Amino acid sequence: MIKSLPNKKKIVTFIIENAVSVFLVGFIIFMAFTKRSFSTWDNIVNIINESSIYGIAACAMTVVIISGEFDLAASSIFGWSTVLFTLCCNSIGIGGAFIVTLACGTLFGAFNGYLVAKIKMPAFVVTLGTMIAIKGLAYVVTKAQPINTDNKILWAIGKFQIAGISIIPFVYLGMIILFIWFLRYTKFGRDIYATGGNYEVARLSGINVVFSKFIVFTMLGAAAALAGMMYGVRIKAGWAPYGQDLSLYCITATIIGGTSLLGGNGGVHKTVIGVLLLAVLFNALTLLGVGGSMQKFIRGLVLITVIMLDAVVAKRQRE
Amino acid sequence: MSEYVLEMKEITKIFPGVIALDNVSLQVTKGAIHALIGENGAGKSTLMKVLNGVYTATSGELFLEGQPLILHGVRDAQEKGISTIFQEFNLINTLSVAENIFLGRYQGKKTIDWKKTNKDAHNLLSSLGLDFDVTKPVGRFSTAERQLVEIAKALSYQAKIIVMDEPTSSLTKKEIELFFPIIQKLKDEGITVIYISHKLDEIFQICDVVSVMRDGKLVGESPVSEINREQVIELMVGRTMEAEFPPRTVTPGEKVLEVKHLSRGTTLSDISFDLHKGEILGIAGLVGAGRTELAEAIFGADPLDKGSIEIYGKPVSIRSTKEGKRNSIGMVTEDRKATGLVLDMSVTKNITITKLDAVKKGVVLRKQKEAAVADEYVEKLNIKTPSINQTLYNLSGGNQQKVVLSKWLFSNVEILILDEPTRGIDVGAKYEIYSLMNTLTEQGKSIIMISSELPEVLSMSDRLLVMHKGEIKGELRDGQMTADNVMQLVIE
Repeated sequence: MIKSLPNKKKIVTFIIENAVSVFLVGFIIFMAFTKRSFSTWDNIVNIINESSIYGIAACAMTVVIISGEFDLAASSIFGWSTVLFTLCCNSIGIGGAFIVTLACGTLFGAFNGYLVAKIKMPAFVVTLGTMIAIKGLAYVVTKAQPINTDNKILWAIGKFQIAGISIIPFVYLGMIILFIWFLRYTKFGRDIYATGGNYEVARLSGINVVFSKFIVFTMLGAAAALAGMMYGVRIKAGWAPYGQDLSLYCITATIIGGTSLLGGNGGVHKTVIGVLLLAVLFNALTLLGVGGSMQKFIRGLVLITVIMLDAVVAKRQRE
Repeated sequence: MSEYVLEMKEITKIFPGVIALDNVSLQVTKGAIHALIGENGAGKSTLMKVLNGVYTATSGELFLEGQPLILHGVRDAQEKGISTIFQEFNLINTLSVAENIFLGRYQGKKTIDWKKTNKDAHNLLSSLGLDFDVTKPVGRFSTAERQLVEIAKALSYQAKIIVMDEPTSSLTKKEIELFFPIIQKLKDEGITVIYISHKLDEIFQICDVVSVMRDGKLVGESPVSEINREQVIELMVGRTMEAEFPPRTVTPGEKVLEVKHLSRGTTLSDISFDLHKGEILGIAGLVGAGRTELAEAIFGADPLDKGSIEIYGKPVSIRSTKEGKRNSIGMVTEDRKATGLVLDMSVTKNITITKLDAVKKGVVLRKQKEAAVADEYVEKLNIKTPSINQTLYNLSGGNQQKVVLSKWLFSNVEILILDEPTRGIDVGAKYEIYSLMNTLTEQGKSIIMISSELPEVLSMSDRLLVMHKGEIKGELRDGQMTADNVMQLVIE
């Protein structure tokens, strides 16, 4: 009895520390038994393909949150990028379209970063403003109409798949590896943790905190543009309202994964779990016949619940 | 009726893996000023948290005026007459003095009766012999004045016992002299004060009884009149201390830093001085004299407006902390928790933060190199931590301060500005830090030491600048470095 006690304790600690993963696995097992269509290869591939698009942006959102900020404008950069990418595919070709769209997203991100890091405006106000402005721009350019493309290369890329898995999950995988490496093994990554952990300490240690905050928004701009282009590849069209819920989705996934809104903690490996959990959850709701409007309602509840849990955990840690 | 206002009987408090308090019994006489001292981690704070309702003891009993006392949280303790004044005040700077005193207990039936609130607040402060404008926001008052507001707040709860945690740590000598009569006044009115401090001088000056704690136990108790300074230190550290300060042996060399006519905003005006190789240059003055501001201007945290800085005779421009570091200047800030350390990062990461370039290859950080650096400083500075991967929350003040020092040593700067380097750390760790300062200067580094503790700055400095109201009032050397001379310069 006495000997087995530490083992039991270990298991309990493991479950608490990996609550999200444990819940995810449990939920998957539960679904596999209750809904036959859930565990079909088609559905699994569907989950992977669907979650990868937003996952690309969620990686970069995690970095923004680690730096102690957050960003609402990513959703509009995403929508704008689907439009710009499609327009450019129709005019200058897919290669040019890729470069122009990526550069544009990066610039939008850099603009946010400049206002937050250098001018020291609150991120909430800045990104709320640019969110509305960029979305407006996308509506103006398209006269609020969706734009289609018949670019042959784009259609070919869209068709590419290995065992049902499209190119997008591979791009997502690349982003995951890149961001984990960036945060864990580079000086800039560490500087971002320090800046989010305690801004003043980082500044007084001679870290360029303004650059740290600037670069995270810039990266998110680029990642949102990349995600937007991937969406364009998938549906061969661009439209302003695409990706409206992207920012909040990414923030939810990041926090569900275990990165605190307070900053200085967490990582992209955690967000990957968060993204997967959300994807499985909403896939399950669809399979169970829950309608789109109801899902929106649930999505909102999940966001608030997750932020509440984050606040509760933070409070516990302080005590 | 018991003769003691407070009895803590056989209090034991066990945290997972640690016995924080081991069978501690403390008796406090009514109206006494009872000092409680001990090194950091000795258990003083835990004991006081049992008393003010933050913690519940694992075993043991409390008696207030002979009656068993069971507490349900801080508010409950406050209402039963036990108030605590923490080092970090529980005041809201944007609210007025009166609002702060009666926070959560506004006077009046349905709406707030401001007239009564303000009048009551004013009366409380008058009873302490103070005349404050109670409608002014607390943030406009000085640290010393805010502390008095805290005391008034305690009185508003009809406090029988007031626990003061390092009440003078951020007060200047002059402010302390104004503060002591207030404590005396409390005593005269029959209020008991439990006085936690690291400053032995103060204890001998105003306390009646002293209790010494070490390693979670009460190791000694005596009327202050029957014990001397050396005996107290011996009880605290559990061994005999030869001296509080190690002797200085370095002879300063060539000029390293020269500051000429430096001004910044309204806080600093026309400051000129120099610093030599291997020297410890002390800067004394009252809180608000501009000492920290001067350090920040030199380091680049808050760059200068006018004037110039020369390093080894070459003019340099320092507009940011990054440039300060590039010009071989490092700064240990006065508040290690707020501005010195990222508390939820590991020891390793906090040390390498200043010079990640040295532990990377290409763009990649080498974890083994980082660990080797951390190991080196943990050993060199005798940092007591379970592991180099430990976050800094659980380290004692002295060990945290050693980590702050390590990070600047690792960045290998030539000029080290230490702002209150021993604030809130215990006697043993202080001595280690003084010795380290000596070693560093032997190795050719130069130190600017800002300190409000006169004995420290007088003993450790080779030269002493005295600042007042943003100016350098005088420079003291060798035999001139006495407390009297410093005070002469700051008194108007």
